[in-house]
Amino acid sequence: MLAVPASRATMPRRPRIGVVKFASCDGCQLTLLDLEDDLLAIADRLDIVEFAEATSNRSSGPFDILFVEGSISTPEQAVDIVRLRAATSTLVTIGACATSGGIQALRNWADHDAVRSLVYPDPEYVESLATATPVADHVAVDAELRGCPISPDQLREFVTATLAGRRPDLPDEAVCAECKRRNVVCVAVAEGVTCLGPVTRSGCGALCPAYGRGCYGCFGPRESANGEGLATWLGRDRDAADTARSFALFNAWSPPFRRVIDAAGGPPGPIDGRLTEEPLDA
Amino acid sequence: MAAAATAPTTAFLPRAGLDRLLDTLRADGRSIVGPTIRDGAVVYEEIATADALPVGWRSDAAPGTYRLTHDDAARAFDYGVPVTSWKRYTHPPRVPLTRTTADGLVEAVETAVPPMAFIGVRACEIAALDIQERVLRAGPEGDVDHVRRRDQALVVAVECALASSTCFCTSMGTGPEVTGGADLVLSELDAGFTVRALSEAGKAVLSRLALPAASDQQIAAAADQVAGVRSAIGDPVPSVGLAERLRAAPEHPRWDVVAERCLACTNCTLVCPTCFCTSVSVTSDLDGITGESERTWDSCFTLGFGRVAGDNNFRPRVADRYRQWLTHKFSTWWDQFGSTGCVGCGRCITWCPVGIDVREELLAIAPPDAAPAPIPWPPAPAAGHAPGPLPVVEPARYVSAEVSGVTRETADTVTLALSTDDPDLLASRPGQFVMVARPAQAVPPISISRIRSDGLDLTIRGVGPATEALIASTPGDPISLRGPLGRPWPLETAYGGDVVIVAGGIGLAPLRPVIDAIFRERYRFEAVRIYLGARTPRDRLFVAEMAALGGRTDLEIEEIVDRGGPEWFGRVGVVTQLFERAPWTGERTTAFVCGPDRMMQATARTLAASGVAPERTWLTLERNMACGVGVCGHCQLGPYFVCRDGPVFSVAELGDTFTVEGR
Amino acid sequence: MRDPATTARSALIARYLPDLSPRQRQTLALIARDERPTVGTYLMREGRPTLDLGVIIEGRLAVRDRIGADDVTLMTLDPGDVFGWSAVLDGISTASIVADQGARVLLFDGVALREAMEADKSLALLVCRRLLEAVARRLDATRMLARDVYAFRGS
Repeated sequence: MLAVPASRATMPRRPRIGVVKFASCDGCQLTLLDLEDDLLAIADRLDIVEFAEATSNRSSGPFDILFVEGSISTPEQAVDIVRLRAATSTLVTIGACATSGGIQALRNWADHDAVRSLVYPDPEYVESLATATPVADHVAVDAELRGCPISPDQLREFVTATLAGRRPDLPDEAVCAECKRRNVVCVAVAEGVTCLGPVTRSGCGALCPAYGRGCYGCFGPRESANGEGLATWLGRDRDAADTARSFALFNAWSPPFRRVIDAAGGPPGPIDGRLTEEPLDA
Repeated sequence: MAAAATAPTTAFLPRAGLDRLLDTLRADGRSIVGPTIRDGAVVYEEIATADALPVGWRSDAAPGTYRLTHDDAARAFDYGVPVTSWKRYTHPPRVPLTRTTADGLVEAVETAVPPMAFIGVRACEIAALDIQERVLRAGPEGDVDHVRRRDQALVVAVECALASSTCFCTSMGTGPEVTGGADLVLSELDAGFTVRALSEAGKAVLSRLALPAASDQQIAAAADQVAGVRSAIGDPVPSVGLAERLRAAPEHPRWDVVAERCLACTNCTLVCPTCFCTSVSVTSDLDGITGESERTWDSCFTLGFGRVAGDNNFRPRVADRYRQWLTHKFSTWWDQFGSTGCVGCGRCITWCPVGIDVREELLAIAPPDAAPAPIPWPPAPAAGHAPGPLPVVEPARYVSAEVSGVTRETADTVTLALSTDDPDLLASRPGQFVMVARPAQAVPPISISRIRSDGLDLTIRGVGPATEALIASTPGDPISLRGPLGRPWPLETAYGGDVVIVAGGIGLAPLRPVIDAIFRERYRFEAVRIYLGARTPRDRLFVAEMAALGGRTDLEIEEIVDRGGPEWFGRVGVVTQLFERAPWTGERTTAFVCGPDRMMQATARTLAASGVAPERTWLTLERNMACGVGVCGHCQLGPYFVCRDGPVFSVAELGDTFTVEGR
Repeated sequence: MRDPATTARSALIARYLPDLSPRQRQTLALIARDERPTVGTYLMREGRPTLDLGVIIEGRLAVRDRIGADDVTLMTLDPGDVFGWSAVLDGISTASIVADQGARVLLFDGVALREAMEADKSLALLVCRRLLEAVARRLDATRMLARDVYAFRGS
């Protein structure tokens, strides 16, 4: 449930904003910089006190709004997020890594020690958790911006709405709704392409279907996502491993997608740290 | 011989002459929208010449699948039904609604609408356009944008020569013959098209084309072609009695079966040519004042569609939502609009990503119990072709009002006294509501809690950002109102008899104008009994006023709280305890009740046990409303729209729509 | 022997159990007591054996409970309400009930009532049916109160 911070009327000073990163690619933070023209106007209304990507100002809090990118992957991060939560009024997770664990959460199915030994010659120097988990598994989260990366329009809407004291308009509906509003032809029905659109939350503007590709589930499962129902339909002419592969991407660990993967016995491909003779499938 | 409204001349347009038709329409300043191929499907888009038409293309449509095939035939209109429907152009996916000025006042926005010509409109689609006309003109204000778009469009229909396996217009009474609702009708033969004009505008175009008359063989060939379509389709969904059978099956186990397959992805509703539900989204600029609101296509399949303040939701499960959609489309639409809601175009079957087929579901849930009725011949005019004029539609009107006073009633509830001199608002009646707009906020419906000679009172509980912004108002703040809306409490029906008023918590707010009205004319009523319930003593509304009422001798007033606390010396318990063993009997009583749904249900039961008839027990319902005038679809409840047919309803009118879960 | 007090009690009993025969009413009138407890008097104590079944004739009683350090009134009872039905079941009171202003109650000694019901099955049936109605109504009211606890999710 979104906790909207106090409206302008009751916050005479500029809100203190922080942007921090855990295990992630940085793309979601970059979206803030992608706001371009609006960025200056927004920066005028906000006091960005911590944003390592963009400014040399440093701060460890307190924050009125803290944008958190990345999943929790190391013991140090698990401690840091708790400290940051205590210093923050409104904690907003941005992107698939922070909201569902990201693609790196595929390691949650794997034998972590075996994989570490395979990659690093001296694995004892590498401190990492066996799982990559979303921020909400560790601390209470006040708002989420989904996506991989997040949408600049949704970010802009979130910031302007929060400043106005209004509930941000971030609809929780299927990508299909955006396709149909845009008059994009359904790739699943017209071409038989595998598309996760019906179970994925909108926000990207139906980007991939507009170019004839199936949806990859970047914005994660929507409310009432019926992954099992979609998997049953796909299973008519695909095997379970193929279907699981479609779900085992950027939001694999979120429960509606995870259930489909588990029903197929886990993400396809070698994940137990053993080298195989055959080349990996593309 | 196809049935004809009047006796139009039938002309013949050779195939090469299609461009002349398009040019003639374009010469009138119209943009031409017609079928064309894109991305593996036929869509409706703006087209320039007849070359853009899907010549030689056919579609194979089946549940969840659509494939195009091409052959060398030169025929342009054998492609079946496109994925787009004409509502894209008459009821667009995004329409700007209002703008908020720097003064903080909300004004309606009117978009310039270009005149268009629609090429290739099928009989089922004509029926759909007609159905949407009825829907979007039905409410007290209706939809101006839709009316203008529809009135400015010239319809060039095409009578189907081929049926898809997903078609069932025959069962819905909407085709395949075109008998009205179009300006021109084409029937495609190999050499060209027979052309009939069905309107003055159509006749004007036809006379400019100066075409030769069609021969008798051509006319007969066209008639045979469409008759062939009719017999190819048959009668897949026998519809006699379907509305009643579907209504009678809310507990059918099949709902849960289809809910396992259904992804609630909204595709069916968005491709459906008659679905009209929309939502309003509000954006604001960084100053937090100026901004816009826009209306977008929405769907009853999204979870948020039915959500009300306080995070309650009336249709939490996918089974609830699927049942709502199917029952509305095939049953309660008749109650609301006097026509079917489905035209049998088959789009929802084809474009459902998991291939759910409504024909199969209907036959499973509401099977016909007798042999299907024979298909009438000649066919009845398409449903919705009402002969008389449709009601005139007024644009939305926002009236500015000023906050003249703010009274805090409880920790989260405030009464705003608004001053206005708008005559419509001052003529509000008890039980009506207004849509209340503040800059940069969503627009909620709020019940009027007092009607004064110089304005209105609104009693508002802060449960989300929009209502919290309202309760933070200060005297002098500008507020824009739209209304009054809704059906008021029928106080006149209580004249000469007893009155009972039961209020739970904030439910007292819409009942206060009733109490005001009763005491203005106290002599019209016999015994007056008021029962007030609240969660705690500090959650009571209008405490001083209700205490003053307690001093009167011409009424009975009692109160009770769920939780008392150390300073409460009154009664503790639920409000029904105040009258469940009352010494009075209710044969001459009219009851007005408001509170949480459960409380109203319990109250209705208890009152019935005391003899108050369900036809005389009146409730007021709260539902998610985006428009307040019956065109956004959010507040649809069984055969009613809560904003337009209510929000005041009698228990008898509601029947099981009030008691069955998830309606 | 019909003294005026017994006759008066018999009339009261007829109000609440109209289907009794005159003899059954007399039986109950002989074991009933018509009392006016002062404000604050406990008619039942949670955890103690329930001695009497009671019907409220006038005034108000309060059902109390100790929650934390406070005595909380869970519900008030009005004329016509029944309490102490665990006396019929030979049980322990699950709540405390206190007299509020103007209280007047008709009390039936639990042991004597049970004996009377053993001896006359049709009397038992009539009494138990009436008790069941009262209990059902109280359960409904309690459920509505509980629903408010769950339903309230406001800010």
